[in-house]
Order: sequence, then structure tokens, then C-alpha cells
Amino acid sequence: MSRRVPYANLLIAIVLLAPLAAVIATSLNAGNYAVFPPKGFSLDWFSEALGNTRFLDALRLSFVVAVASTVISIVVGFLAAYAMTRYEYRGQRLSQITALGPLTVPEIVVGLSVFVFVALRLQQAPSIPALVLGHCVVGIPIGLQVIVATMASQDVALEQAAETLGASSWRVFRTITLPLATPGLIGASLLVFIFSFDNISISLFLMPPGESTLPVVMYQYLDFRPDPSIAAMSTLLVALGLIVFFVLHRIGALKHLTGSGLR
Amino acid sequence: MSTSFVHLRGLTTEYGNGAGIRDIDLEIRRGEMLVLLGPSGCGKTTLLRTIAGLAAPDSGTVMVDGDDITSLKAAQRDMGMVFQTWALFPHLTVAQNVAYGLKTRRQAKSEITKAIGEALELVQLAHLADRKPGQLSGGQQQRVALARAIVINPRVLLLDEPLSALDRRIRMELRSDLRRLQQELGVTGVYVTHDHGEALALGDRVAVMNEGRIVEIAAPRELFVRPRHRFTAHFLDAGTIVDVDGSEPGGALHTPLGSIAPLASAGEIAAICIPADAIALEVDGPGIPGTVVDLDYEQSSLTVSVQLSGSGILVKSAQPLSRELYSGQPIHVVADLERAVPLAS
Repeated sequence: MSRRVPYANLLIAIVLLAPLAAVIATSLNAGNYAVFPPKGFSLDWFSEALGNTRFLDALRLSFVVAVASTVISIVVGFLAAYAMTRYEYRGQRLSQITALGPLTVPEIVVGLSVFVFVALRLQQAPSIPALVLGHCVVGIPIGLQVIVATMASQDVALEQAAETLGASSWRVFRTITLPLATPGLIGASLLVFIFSFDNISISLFLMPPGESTLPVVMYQYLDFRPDPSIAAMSTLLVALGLIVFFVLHRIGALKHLTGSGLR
Repeated sequence: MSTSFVHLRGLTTEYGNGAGIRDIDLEIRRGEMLVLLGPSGCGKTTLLRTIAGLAAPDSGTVMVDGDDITSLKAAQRDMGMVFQTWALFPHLTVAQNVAYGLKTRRQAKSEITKAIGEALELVQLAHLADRKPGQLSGGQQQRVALARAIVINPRVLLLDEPLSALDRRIRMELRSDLRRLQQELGVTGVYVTHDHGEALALGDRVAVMNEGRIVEIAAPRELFVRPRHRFTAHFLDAGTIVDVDGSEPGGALHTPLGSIAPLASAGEIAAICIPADAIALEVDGPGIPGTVVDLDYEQSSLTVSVQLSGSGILVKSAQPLSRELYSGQPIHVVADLERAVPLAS
């Protein structure tokens, strides 16, 4: 193998990461306005962002909703994926396709639909459960996709071998199926969590009165105070994302998201 | 008194794609290794999986040692199975893989440890007990799969083409190991393969299968030397097969290669098989004229294909490597019909 500089990869990385770099640089501004390139250097905006209760309340709501959506989406997605890859039933192909349907619908329409369902059918005001439901409508197919890919790539002879060795169905599931699906489950969780955490279009319809998720609060904040605290908040989220990504990479949970590209 | 240990009666499994089994009756003796031999899609793997309990038959019964186990799940059958892909659990170590079947049986820890040690010793892998399957060579993985299957003291050891994914050299080595091990343990085995060599080397008896049915069962050498059915002779490449054109009542059989005296074989004779070494090639008569169409050189033999001028029949003859022939050469074929093997259709 020749060791040439991978110019194409570098270019793609630069194009993808340049906006992030701008945001991070902006968060380090010393002045009162979010400008790029930054004027002076200070970490003040980080303490400003972390001292803002609106941000923190919104962060808490976003986190709760993302965790709940992720757990529900992964459990439902795993059960559905298990059925789709381990059983044969009438309408199997159709169910696989329709299960991914929500991914083809604009999220704003998903948000509206769930709002209509909650408000008109259930006669309920928007609430945290409604918000979680809305996120799950897209979260389940995202999770399902990754988990199906993981489980379909497993050799079913593994489960059959465990069976011939005397293992009950439950034991086969617990000792073979689940451990082998775990990297896929972690990868799927990551995707669903990120989707839910930074979603705006569905959240707009379903947020409980008086409360907002972090992306919405940040967007609204920008409208009336364009100071660098918003960039500082973004930088913190990027850092958090990178840490999670790094940890998952180390435990090998990302292979199912990238084929086998990451090692 | 019957000596059969495994007894299959009227087993039928229909699949949409036609790869099922049809009305299989089979007796397997205690301690013997029975090879199921046939082309892909002949139903041999389906039959094995039906014995294992991984496939449910539409009808028929599976008996082991007098017990009807047809309705038992695979987990309750006490069968050791070695899969074509070996199916080692990739997240467990070699020792944990071998321990799996013992743990489901809730044996004491000390017993499990001892049994794992013995099983790994048996397949000469004790030194690799703590490795993961992914760190082993194909041959080593195959031996782990075997150890995992035999450590549970199975009533029957089922092997589904366990060597087909290996290099030729390792395959030869492992198949004699496998044979020795099976005989030492005295375990009853069923071995599925499409490889003639494996069938010869491993089987006490070989059942030839085609289109979901057992064509014939015999000791391997018997099968290769004296196949009784056209399919067997064809599949094992036992020689040149020619149809019998007609026979006189109680008299000679007529074939395109000449007529032969009535054979003492029972039943109708549809064709005869002439071994390649019973066919001589003469450059200048006598014999049936033909043309050399192909020369197939192997390590120790030369197989010459000759097309007969009149009938167009393709005849195969074994010749010493030193014989100098060329493609397109006119030649005369002399078949020793005394050595012809009669075949039913």
C-alpha cells in the first residue's frame, strides 16, 4: 500500500467540520456579539451559558425526552427487528417497508400528525409523553434500520447451535442473540438519541405549555440576544457528542453504522 | 432383534423450493458412522436437521434407542451438531464455547472444568482455551466445534459438511482425526457431505441421496465398485454408463458396446456401468471406432474421453500417464463387458 495523502478525505472533513470550527471560535469571543473571526479570547460565555436557567431547564427537558424516546424506540425496534429477521410470516416484506415509512415523511408533517392525534383524538394538550411519542414515530424506524442490519448479518446457525446444546429459547436469546446484537443496539441508541436531542420540527408541535427543548430555546434566544453564549452552549454539546462518539468507537459499537469502515 | 439405534420412518418434509425429503426410511446402527452423500439440494441437510430437531417433518417419526423423539425440540434431543459454518459463539472463548452445552445441563462447575479440559485435549486445543474463535485458524475452529458437540456426550453426533470450508490439506488431516475420534468414542454419527473422498474415508455405510430420497445404502467400497443404481454410478463417476437397448427373454443384454450374457442380478436392468480401467484403447483395430475428444491428466492417471463414431456415445477410459494420445485421434474402443456392473434406473 502506498501512503499517499488522502486529499479527498481531508477535503470532505474540512467541508463538514468548518461550520463547527466557526461556532467553537465564536464561543471564545471576548466581546458582546457573536462575530467571526472572534475578537479577543475569553471563556466568559461558557459560564454565561451554564448560568442561564432557561438553557438548563431546556437541557433537562431535552435530555429526559431523548432518553425516554431512545429507550422506547430501541425496545420496540429490537422486538420488531427480532420478528423480522428470525421468523417468517405473511406480509413480512410489506411490514419491513412500512415500518420505515416515517423516515420518508417530512418531520414537520410527522409533528403535525402526532399533534392532531393527541389534540383531536385523545383530547390532550401537548405534554412530555406527547413529545416522546412524536420522537418515537421517527426514532423507532431509525433504530429498527440499524438493528435489522445487525441481526440480519448474524449467522442463524449460532442460535441453532445453542439450541442443539440444550438451551431454552429464553437462554438462547439471553446468551447468544442479545450479546451479539448489543453493538448494534448501542449504535442505534446513539442515532436515536441524537435525532431526538436536536429535533426542532416535531418538538415545535408537541412541547408542553411553558416548556421548550434545548434546540428550540437556542433558536428563540438567537432572535433577541445574538451573544456568544449560544455558541458556547453549542460548543459544549459538540464536546459532549465527541466524547460519547469516542467512547462508543472504543467499545466497537460503531461498526454497524459504518459498515466495517471504522476500526 | 434390531440393531438399529436411530430409526427413521416415513419422514417427509416438503419445502416450497423442492429441497425437502420424501418418505425416508432409514436405520442407523449404534456406533456406526453413516454418511449422507448427494448433490446439493438432494435433501441430505434437511434430513440431518430433521434428526437434530431443527426442522419439523410434515409426517413420519424419528426414533432414537426406542424413544419416539419426533415431537421433541432440538434442545431436548441430546444431539451434538457440527455446522457447516461451525457456528462458534464469537463473543465467547474457546473454553466457554465448549462449556455452553454443559452449563445448560446445570452441571457442577468442577465437572464442567474437567470435561472442557478433556474435550479440548481430545482435539488437541487445550493450549488455546482462552482464545476467541476469531483468533483461530479454520481447522482449529472446526475442532472447537467438534469438541463442543462431543463434550455433552450426545446420543448422536450430527455433522453438516464440517470440512467443506477448509483447505484440501487440512481437510484430509481432519477427516482422519474425525474418524479416529468417532471410533474411539463409539458415538453414533451422521455425516452429510457431497464429497466422495470424505464418504469413502469416513463412512461405515454411505446413503446416496437424490431428489429427497435415499437411492441406495451400502458400505463405501461396495458403493464405488458395485453401484446398483444409475444415479449412484453417475454421481460417483464410477465409469461409462450405457443404456441397455433390449434383452432377449432370459438371454443376452444388448448395449451399444456389445452384448453380454444374462446377469444374475435381480430386478430390471436399465443400464450398465463399465469402469474406466475395463476399457482399452487400440490404435489399429479391433474394437468400436471412435475419436479421442478429451485428455484429462491427473496426478497418477490419465482419463481419456472417446466419442464413438456411430452412436455418439462418450466413453471414458483410464490409461497410464505415459500413453501418448492426442485430441482428435481416431481410436478403437474395446470394452471388457465381463466387468460391467448392472444398474437399475
